[in-house]
Amino acid sequence: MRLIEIIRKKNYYTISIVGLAKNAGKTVTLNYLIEEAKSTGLSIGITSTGRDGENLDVVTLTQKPLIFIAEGMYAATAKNALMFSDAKLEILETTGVYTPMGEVIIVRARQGGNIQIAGPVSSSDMKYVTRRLKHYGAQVVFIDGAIDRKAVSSPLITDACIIATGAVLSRDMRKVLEITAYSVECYTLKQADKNIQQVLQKQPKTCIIKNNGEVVVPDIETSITGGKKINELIDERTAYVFIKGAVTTSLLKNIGENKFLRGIKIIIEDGTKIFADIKLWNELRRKGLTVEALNAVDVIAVTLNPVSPQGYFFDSNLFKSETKKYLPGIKVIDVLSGGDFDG
Amino acid sequence: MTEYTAKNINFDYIFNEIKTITEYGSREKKKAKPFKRGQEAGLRKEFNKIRTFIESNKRREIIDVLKHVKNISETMNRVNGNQVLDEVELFEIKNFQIQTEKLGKMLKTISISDLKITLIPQIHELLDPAHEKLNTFYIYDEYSEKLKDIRNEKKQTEKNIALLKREIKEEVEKKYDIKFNIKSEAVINKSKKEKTDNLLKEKNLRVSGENYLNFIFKIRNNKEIDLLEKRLECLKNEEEEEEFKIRQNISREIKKYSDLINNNIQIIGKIDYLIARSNFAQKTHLSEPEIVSVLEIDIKAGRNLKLEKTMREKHKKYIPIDLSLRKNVVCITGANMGGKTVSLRMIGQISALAAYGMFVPCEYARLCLFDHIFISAGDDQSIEKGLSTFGAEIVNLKKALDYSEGRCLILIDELAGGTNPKEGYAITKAVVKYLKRKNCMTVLTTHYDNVADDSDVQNLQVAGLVLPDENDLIKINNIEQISKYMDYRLIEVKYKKDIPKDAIKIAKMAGINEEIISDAENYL
Repeated sequence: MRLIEIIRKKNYYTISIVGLAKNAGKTVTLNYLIEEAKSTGLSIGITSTGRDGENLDVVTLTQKPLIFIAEGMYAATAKNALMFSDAKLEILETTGVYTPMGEVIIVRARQGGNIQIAGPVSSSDMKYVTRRLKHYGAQVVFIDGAIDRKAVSSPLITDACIIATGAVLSRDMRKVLEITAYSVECYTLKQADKNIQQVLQKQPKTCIIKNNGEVVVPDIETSITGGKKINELIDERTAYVFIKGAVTTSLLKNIGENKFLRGIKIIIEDGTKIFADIKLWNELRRKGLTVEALNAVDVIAVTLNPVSPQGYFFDSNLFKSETKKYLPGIKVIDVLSGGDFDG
Repeated sequence: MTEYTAKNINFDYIFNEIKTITEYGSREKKKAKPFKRGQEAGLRKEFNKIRTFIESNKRREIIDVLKHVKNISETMNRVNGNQVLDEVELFEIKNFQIQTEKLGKMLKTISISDLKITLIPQIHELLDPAHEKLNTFYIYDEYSEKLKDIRNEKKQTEKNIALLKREIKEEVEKKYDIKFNIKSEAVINKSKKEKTDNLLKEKNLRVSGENYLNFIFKIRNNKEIDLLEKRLECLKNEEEEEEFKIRQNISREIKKYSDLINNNIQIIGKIDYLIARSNFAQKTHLSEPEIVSVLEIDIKAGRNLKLEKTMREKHKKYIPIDLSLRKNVVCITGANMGGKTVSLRMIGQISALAAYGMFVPCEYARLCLFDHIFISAGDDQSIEKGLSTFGAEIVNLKKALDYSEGRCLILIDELAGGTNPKEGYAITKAVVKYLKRKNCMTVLTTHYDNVADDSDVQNLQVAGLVLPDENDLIKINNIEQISKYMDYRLIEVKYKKDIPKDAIKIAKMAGINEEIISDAENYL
């Protein structure tokens, strides 16, 4: 099934695109999605977290494709970004949401053209803006998520996400595959079961749940420094450890030393909260660490960019087939060289 | 009214609770000045407006419109400075115009003569030349024939370019059995030498990139496409220019109506502020005061709003107070903890609110306007600054006396109460004598006997402790429980009467050593 059909079938409204690095092909993916949606007659809205669509990528000074907005499409972008666009736009609403580039304005293209997209920065503003886009008639909204701003792909805000990865991550394809698989694994952690979700709703703090249902709240300020304390509290009667907020390397290291590791389940808020070292993560998983999330993120596809702006690139067929091996069950699309012909 | 007074009578608290919706409304609120003596008629008119909004069933609808009114003052400044507005600014003016028209219609049913919105159909026409009747804005084709022509040609040119490119692409794809990607690039492996050689010779292709493995090809524009693209560039520039001219014309046109627009802005601000006061009056059960020109204050069931709220939060009842102030100097005497200071602040609060065009917290009020309002009451702030209690009140008293030539409301809590009783009494008596000749209303609380012993001075006394049995004082654990047995009513005392000995009673109830209590009674 084509990607856009999956989106429609699952009734997804907001899709965020997360790049694992700059130049991982986020914008190409976005343009690809726009093309796909257009071909099925869907009415599209686009926005981004922070500024995007600049002609030159300010970080690496590589050429960056602009986002082409066709007649009838909707966009939410900051006023200053709007003034650099050559599409002819009808102003629909001034949202009262402010960004460093000015107020976010909702527009509809009356004549197609290139546009700079710089959307809301905070999650609540993003929610509001996507709601407004829907109000004006967008049937699906694509959110171009900036690098290292995973927050907006949080499941609380978008219905699903697409991960863009590419040769830019490393010259070594194996490494690219490892990082990609790790990210996908974090995002798509199993959702914790209903009972435990209910318990944790009443307990919005890092805590330990024993197998008799007893809840122990360790006296820690943040999970970042609290690993040792959590570790001390884990015993043979511990069933779950809920970690509120960031899951860091030091925290995992501390918990990983615990001899009861195999008997417990770690529950985290969602996959975007994991900031742990990839090696440690894989090692602990092998040792039997079980991690579940309160909110699962639906990763509907991984897109590949086999070309790195540093000049090297991977054989695109090999890259694609290897990625599929690493990520069984996930749709893999080489957006650059032709999209998803083979599903 | 000084900042100190505003704070002390909790006027600042109440004023902060008046919530306007638009920036024009908050500007109007910031500008608010008290009505002075001689402006009674104007104030009555203001109250009329508030009452009209309270009674109007359109208030909700107007509020809904106000929520959509955005601040265009900055844009109007740019218009007046002959700047050319951008699309977003024009959109904002259009929206302002639409909201203003809605308000105008709603206000028709409300008969307030000086709150008339001026409809400016010319602006509407100017910003909706296509008669789309939408809230949105666009540089519509209808603005000029030239724009329309440019755009049509642009569209056609774009179409032609796309068509030509597609033709070439399909032809090349078919001819060499290759496929272009989403970026219109074809990546061909160098190992297929024969193919790449042919592709390199193809006049419709150019090499856009090369590495050790592949050639990357792109479609080369033919002359026809080149020409069309050049033309397209020209058209885009022409379009920009034409749009600029159009925006310039619209901006100039809007400037002609800027006085009318600014006038509407002011009226919207006034309406917003009036509605904010109406909402507050309704929410906190305020009533419209009657404004008189004679020096009098009558209050029935008066409340201090802030104190009432604090009490409510503690699940306690606030006891409203009636009073009727008739003479130039009024003394409030009576028991400690009998609410004298609370009553003093309440008088100030009601007078200040009325003067600022607000309804007042009581069932009924009839009062005059003052030129100034002063209060001197136990003030922790001045003490923190290093002044003693006595020092602070003397400073306040001096300020009040300086203005006493005008018609002032002077509220004094326990004048010189912190100094030795002999001098304290002397100062108080002298101040009373001085102020009773002035055209002011002075209300003071005092414990000194004989201050009120003057036919020119009105004496109100707190009714005081009411116990089930005078001889059987109940022991209490918490001093606040006194309020259960306190009758806060103010009773006019015509003849000299002993000040009630409630202080000793309270001390006894609070559980002070019996020996001290009986000793104290002996000293009396």
